[in-house]
Amino acid sequence: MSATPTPAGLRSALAVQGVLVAIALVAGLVIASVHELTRPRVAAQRAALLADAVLDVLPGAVAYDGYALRADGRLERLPSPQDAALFVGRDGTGQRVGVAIAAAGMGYQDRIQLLYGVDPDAGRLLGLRVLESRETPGLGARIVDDAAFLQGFVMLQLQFDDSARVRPLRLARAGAEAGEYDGITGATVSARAVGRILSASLAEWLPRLRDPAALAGGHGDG
Amino acid sequence: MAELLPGPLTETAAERFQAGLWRENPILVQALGMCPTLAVSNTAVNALTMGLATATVLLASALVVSALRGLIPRQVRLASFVLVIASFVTVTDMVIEAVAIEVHGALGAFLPLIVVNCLILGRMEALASRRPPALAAFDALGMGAGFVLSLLALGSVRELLGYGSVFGLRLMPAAFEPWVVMLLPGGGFFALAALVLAFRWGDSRRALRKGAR
Repeated sequence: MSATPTPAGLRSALAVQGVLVAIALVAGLVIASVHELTRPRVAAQRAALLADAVLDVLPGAVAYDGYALRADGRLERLPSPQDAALFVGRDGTGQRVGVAIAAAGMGYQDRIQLLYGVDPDAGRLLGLRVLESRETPGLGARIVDDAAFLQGFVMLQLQFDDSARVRPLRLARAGAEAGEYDGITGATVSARAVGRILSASLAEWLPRLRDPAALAGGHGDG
Repeated sequence: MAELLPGPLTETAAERFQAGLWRENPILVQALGMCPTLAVSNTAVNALTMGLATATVLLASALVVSALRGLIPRQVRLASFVLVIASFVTVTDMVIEAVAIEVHGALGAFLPLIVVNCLILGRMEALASRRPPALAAFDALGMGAGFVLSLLALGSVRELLGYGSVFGLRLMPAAFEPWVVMLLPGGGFFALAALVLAFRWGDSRRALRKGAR
């Protein structure tokens, strides 16, 4: 093309651009409509996955509410549990069963995301589910589905020091005692990582949850 | 490269379909789309979903590009192909998330990356943009089926040796010690090499038999 485009050259250049713009417009329209059509189903699927996990780590719970931490350090009940940081599970009679908390931290290869249930008053864990991990298949990845390992966190009694701070969980050497959990042969690094993530999250959340007023604010109807 | 270009204009739809399945198989012969092939073929379910998603995008893009082939100017043809492909990939990605969110999570970044699968762009440039929609569709179907079958073969072998199961169904005896390496990236290369070797061996035997007759 010459430096000063002729009217004909300009017209054909515009026609070329026009085709591209038209294709882009149609493509955008198609994507937007499919997004609108699939969004309710995606949201429903996410909610079902979350409900499945929350009720799994809180044995006995049939319903739950989502809470988020407000800037002033108080917990606030959210209308939709989707973006909540923690979930309070209740049984059929409305009694509080425990609190499910999402936690994350570094594993062997990438971040591990957990959801665990804890009874703050009794100071014990109720259950554990690994939501997301990219640990080595066949080795560290067994933290996701090794039933014996996960069962080790059910009714695990936490240990507290003299000033009522929760002690970090320890990997059991022989037969798990209070404050200890059994590892998996071949998955030591990932199992340790799970304990570390849990301990850090418990140290952060337990003091808040053991405060009697913590969950009182904002859930009105109970 | 010559063998990758479309044959003479007389080539029929049936021949294009067969070409994708065997003679120009995208994975075993053309060695295209190796990134998803190696990354997500660790289980049969992942391989099948990835294969079907790619084949769907390929077929839909081939139809649209072939139908618009008279309208798309040469200067912006690659940009137009990528636009069409990217739109179908995004749509497929959203549909899979709505239907099977767990598989969607397992495939992760590899679903959006179908956009840059050179198998698809290659078919657009080499065939769909020069042939009528019916022929382009049969070519895309053949290439897609070849891709799905090769990926499924890889995924089944890796899952069988790595977990002892296929599609989650346990096939190996309880005493079988899983080969963890088959689930790792290295195992993808081993399985692919074995599959290509077997394919070549079978192909040359077939050619020999033909020659003897």
